[in-house]
This record gives sequence, C-alpha cells and structure tokens, in this order.
Amino acid sequence: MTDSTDKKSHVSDELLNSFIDHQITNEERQELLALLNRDETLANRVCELQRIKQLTQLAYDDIPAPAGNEQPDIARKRQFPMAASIAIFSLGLLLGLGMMQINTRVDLLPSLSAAHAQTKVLVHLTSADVDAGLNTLDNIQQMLQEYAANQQSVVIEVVANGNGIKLLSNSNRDIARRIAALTERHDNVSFAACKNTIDQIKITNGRDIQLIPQVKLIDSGIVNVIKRQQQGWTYIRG
Amino acid sequence: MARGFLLILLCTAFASAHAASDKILYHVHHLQLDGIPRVLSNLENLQKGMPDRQLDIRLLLQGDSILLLDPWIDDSFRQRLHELRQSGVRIEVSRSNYADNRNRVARDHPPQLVENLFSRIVELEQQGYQYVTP
Repeated sequence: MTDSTDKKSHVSDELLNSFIDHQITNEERQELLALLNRDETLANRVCELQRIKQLTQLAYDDIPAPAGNEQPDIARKRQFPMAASIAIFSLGLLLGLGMMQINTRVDLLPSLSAAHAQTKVLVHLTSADVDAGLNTLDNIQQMLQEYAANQQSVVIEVVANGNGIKLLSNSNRDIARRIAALTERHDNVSFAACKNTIDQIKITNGRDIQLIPQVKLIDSGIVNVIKRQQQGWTYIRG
Repeated sequence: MARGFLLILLCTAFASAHAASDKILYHVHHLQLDGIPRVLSNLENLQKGMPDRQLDIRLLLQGDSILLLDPWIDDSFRQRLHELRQSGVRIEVSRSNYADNRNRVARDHPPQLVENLFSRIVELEQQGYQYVTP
C-alpha cells in the first residue's frame, strides 16, 4: 500500500506528458497504465494534460507560418496576442475542468476502460408484478444476445428480495420456464434469492417458498446488491 | 487572428458549460396510473432542487411504463410531461416496446428509440449518468 502510494505521488508531469506523447518504453507504459487504473487522481491529471495539449494544438492550427523576411520585433508583436489568448483559454479550461464532477476518466481514456471490457450487471428484483418480471427477462435475454453477437463479455446476476422473491418461486410457470431456458442457454446469467426474506415470509405467513431449481439461495439480497455495486457492477432495477 | 480568439472563446464557453452539467438516468421499470404523479414530481423536484446546474436527464421507460406517453392520460399529466420535455428531459424507449404499443403513444413527440433498454442503461452509466429509479 505504502509502496504504491509513494509511487503515485512521484509521477511527474514530465513523465505523464511523455506517456501522452508515446515517448516512454513499453515497460514504463505498462507500469503507468497499472497505476492509472488504481489511482483516479492520477488518471485525472493525465486527462487534464491530454486535453490541454489537444486544445493548445487546435489553437495553434490557426497561426500562419512566420514569413522569413519579417523583422523580429514585428513577429513578437504578432505572437503576443496569440500567447495571451492561449493563456486565457487555458485558464478558462482549467476553471471548467475544476468544476467538472462526473467521470472525466471514462470520457477521455477509453483505452483504459476497454482494458477491463467485461461488463458486469446486477439486476435487482423487488416487485412481484409478473408482467414487469417477464419484461425484465426479455431485456436480459436481448442483452445477452446482443453482447454475444458483438463478441463482448457480460455477466448478469439477478438478485431478488422483498416482494421480488415471489417471481423466483415456482408458483409462476411462465417465469420458471423462462429462467430455465435462459440459464440453460447462457452460463453468464444467474439468479439468486434472499434467505432473510424467505425466512421472514415463513415467520409472518407460515408459508414455505419453493424456489425455481435454477435459483441459488444467498444470505442477504440487499448486502449482495451493495457489495456488487462496490465492486463496480452496473445496477439496474428490474 | 480574430478566428483564433473566437475559437478560444467558444471552447472556453463549451468547457464551462460541460463542467456545470449533471447527467441523470431516471429508469422507470414498471408503472401504473397511480404511479404517474410520483414520476413527474420526482423529475420536477430534481430540476427545482438543482436550479444552478445544467441537468442532462434521460428518462428511460421500460415495459408498461410507456403508459406515460399515452395521449389519453390526464391532461394535467400530459402538460407536466410536455414541460419536462421542453426543459430538456429526453425520453428513451426500446424499439420493440414502441412497436408493440405504437397506438398508445402520442405521435406529436415520439421518444428516442434504442435497441435494448438494459444495454442502454449500462452504456449511459458508463458515460457517467447517475442512476435513479422512482
């Protein structure tokens, strides 16, 4: 921990600029990419440097090439407004970036995100509405097919608690059939039910919930939902 | 030279505008008539509660939630939804859901169609949209 923290703090702007300009060795590049994945602040520094570099280049595109026979003092006079404008522009840009709150890293460094291309999705069932449940299964099926067709990797975990447990009980044949078909065809989708909820239903109503065979039992649905989000899974209410 | 200054001003304005925006993904996975006021109020309150922010709100309607676009819902609801759209709230519906309910959707303002709603949610969340449900 201290080792990586020390390393993070010692990454200079010069090294980051070299990284942006592809002027470092492959080994250095790999090492830096690993650091960037772990350290959001560092990744944001790269984004800022990259953005400033791109926009500065954009501004310079408009500058005509200096004529060879111009007097030096005239050339300096012409350069001053441009230098001033770049300075003003950079200031404005930094102010804007300072206010930016949402996911700069994802927007500007797609290659880093692509390095971890597996999409992980948690679908949270809390409603007993059968039509809504069937619609959720439709969406899951379409998503699995879409990712497979595009040769992209996805893992979907469906977790039910509260009233959503009823959808995963074997009382509804349509749902049971759909879940059986989905899990048979795709090994990257799974279904889980909250044991706490099932125990509570037993205590309150004296009724045993019989789950669909493909559904596994987990201790706490809500804890699983929170853990998955902490692990970076995309949350969808189903 | 003037073009250079103009470009710089435009870029700076763009950077500032982008910086001040908040991206919100409001997903309605299931909706019945009695749930409509809550959805509309949520969105209105979101805008009222963040008057100094530029909000980029995507309203994703799943399954029976397409009811919100029904031309026969209460006039006051339709008016409130119209105002939300006027203020920039963008509505997205899956292509298949739209095809199944074409007759239930007001034609003056068609929603944006997407192939799959769940894939779209993943895409928007990866773009930094904050996920909210009613």
